[in-house]
Amino acid sequence: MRITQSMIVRDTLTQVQSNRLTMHQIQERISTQKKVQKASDDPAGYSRIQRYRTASDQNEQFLKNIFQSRNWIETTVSALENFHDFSNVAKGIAIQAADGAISPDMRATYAESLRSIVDEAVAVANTRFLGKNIFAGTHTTHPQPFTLDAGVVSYAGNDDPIQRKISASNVIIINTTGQQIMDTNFFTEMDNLITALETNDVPAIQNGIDIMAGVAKEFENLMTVSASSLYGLMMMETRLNETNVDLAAYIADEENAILEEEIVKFKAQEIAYQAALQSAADVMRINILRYL
Amino acid sequence: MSISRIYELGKRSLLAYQSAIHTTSGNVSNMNNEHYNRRRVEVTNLINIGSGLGITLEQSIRLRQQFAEKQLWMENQHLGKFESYDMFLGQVEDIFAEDTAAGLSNILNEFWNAWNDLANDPESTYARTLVRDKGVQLTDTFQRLHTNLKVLQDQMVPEVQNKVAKVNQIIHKINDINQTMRHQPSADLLDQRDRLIHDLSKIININVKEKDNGEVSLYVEGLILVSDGKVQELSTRLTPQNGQIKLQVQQDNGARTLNINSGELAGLLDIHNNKIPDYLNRLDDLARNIAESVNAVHRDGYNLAGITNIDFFSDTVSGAADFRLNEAVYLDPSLIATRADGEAEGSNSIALAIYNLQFQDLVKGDTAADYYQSMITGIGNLLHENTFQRQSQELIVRQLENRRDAVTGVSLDEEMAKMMQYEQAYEAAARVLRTVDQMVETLLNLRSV
Repeated sequence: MRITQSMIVRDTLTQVQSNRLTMHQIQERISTQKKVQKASDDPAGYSRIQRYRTASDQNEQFLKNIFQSRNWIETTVSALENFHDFSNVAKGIAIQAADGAISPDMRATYAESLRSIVDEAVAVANTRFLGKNIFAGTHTTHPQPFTLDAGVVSYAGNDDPIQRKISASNVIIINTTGQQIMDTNFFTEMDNLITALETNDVPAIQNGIDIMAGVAKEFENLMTVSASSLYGLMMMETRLNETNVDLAAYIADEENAILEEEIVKFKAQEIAYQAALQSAADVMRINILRYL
Repeated sequence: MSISRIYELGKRSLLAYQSAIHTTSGNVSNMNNEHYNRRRVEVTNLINIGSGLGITLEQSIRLRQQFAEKQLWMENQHLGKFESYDMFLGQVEDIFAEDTAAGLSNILNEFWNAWNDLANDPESTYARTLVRDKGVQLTDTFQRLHTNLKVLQDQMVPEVQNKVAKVNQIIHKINDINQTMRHQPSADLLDQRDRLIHDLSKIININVKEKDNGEVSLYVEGLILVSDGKVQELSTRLTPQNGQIKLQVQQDNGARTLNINSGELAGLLDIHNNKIPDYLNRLDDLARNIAESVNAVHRDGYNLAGITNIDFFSDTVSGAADFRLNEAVYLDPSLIATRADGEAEGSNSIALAIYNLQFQDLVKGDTAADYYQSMITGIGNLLHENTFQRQSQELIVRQLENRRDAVTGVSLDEEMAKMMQYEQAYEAAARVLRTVDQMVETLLNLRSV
């Protein structure tokens, strides 16, 4: 084959250009630390990265929801613990007041203590978390869902659930409604006990011991429900966190340039580039004119 | 044999080698001209009756490698197509800007997330404003994509017109060369003609037929561009078709539309007529479906004040171009609904249902994100493969060019060697003349003695 000047120039330019291009691409990967930036860089890889990223973003939202839900439920549980304690205190008072030797004055004092417990319990029932009533169903902004009037507590909230999405397929209910508090009969039984104390109705007071124990039990049940929700949330949180760690690893795997590898490639390419330039310079310099 | 005859012989040699050096220097000066075919001198004996009269030069011969030339014209068409794909599909991908936070997939994500925030805080004004703002961002992004794709599509029209104008220019020049070739053939004209065909082959799929006298006829899919002194110019035409504007290249007299399947024009027309309309349609589908699904849920919902039957997006969204929020919601975000009929302010059933839409198959059996991603991946894939094909096509073209140049290119070594050869011959011929001159002088001196 005849080798002509134009062939030498064309091949040299193409080689040098292609080496340049490769170096430019490697340099871009090193400076951005990414090997896939656009779909055209690696369509299959890009599509996987996008799916991982979407899943990871969704999980971040679920984790945010779980975090807020946990705080909500923890606030609920501590309020329920208060109710549980109140019931036990009332039971203790009933045990002491059931003693036939106790004077009516003493019973009146006990009744007074129970009244202040009821005051406190109403305040607890009106607990807010982030400005929202936790025991009002979905009437979260009601100014006062529980009111005490002449010893009778009435509830103005509803029995609706508050829902949070914690995974693509799971929605959980985070609230204990005011109706559930009312259904423990805590307030009516407290009122009954107070009346019994004030009227020195010893059999009713004795009866109140078991009743208050029963109410305490009801609160235990409510706490158990909340606690198991909490447990479920924590399990989900762990799972989502693990998934996201995995997803982040997959994304990094597909997307991130491995610096060591790229730098080695760059060095190799640089040598190839210099060699191409050197040999091109030599080839172009050598011709018959040098020897004439 | 007379002495004057040797004079004649020497003169002819001098002239022949002078002409040979002229040809060689022509080759050397065109060493870097890619479209130059080297010339070669053919030295032949001039036979006179009885005895040789020395040498003469045939016209210098222009070398050709026709097989490689023809293949090059073919392969160049494919290269042209790949190159225009590369250039304009690259721009399409840039428009979607998926490698930045402004990409639609990210904006869409943020839009759904805003609904999640509202579902966590349905009593909040702030969360509603956020949903409104993310909604505006979403519709703006759709509109930006639509506008930019349209602008690109519009910009391709003058690009195609320029190419067609160039085709017309070239075919006229080739016709002129054909005319000249009939009565005054010349190697330089052939160089020029081949260069024009080379340029033309990159733009459009042509067939070349060459006659013995060097005249060429050019056809596109059987339709004449240049033949026998006739030139059929081309023009572009925009015709509405299925709600889209199609760009076509036709014979200038309007008789036939050309079927262009190769060359830069093929790439340009395909992107203008098929690719961009397809992407626009998909964006429209996506916008319309998102608007309709969100609206359907939202209309059933109630805001904090108990107002219902409000659309979140405009109820007349027909595509990406007119994708926008319901004006009322835009002005007053408190209209955004979060709860169903009869539920209290803390209920988030509607907000949650809208957030859930991202997990549902909204568009042609795909979730909104998947539908969009499959389009982006499709563009990326096309571009990726095209780049690969372009690179291998460049290699093919380069190899063909080398094959052609192996015959027709100028080798400096060869030319310099020949130059020396011719120079020495020239010197020798001159010496012959001097010897003859001395012989004559000797002869004249004889008489005077």
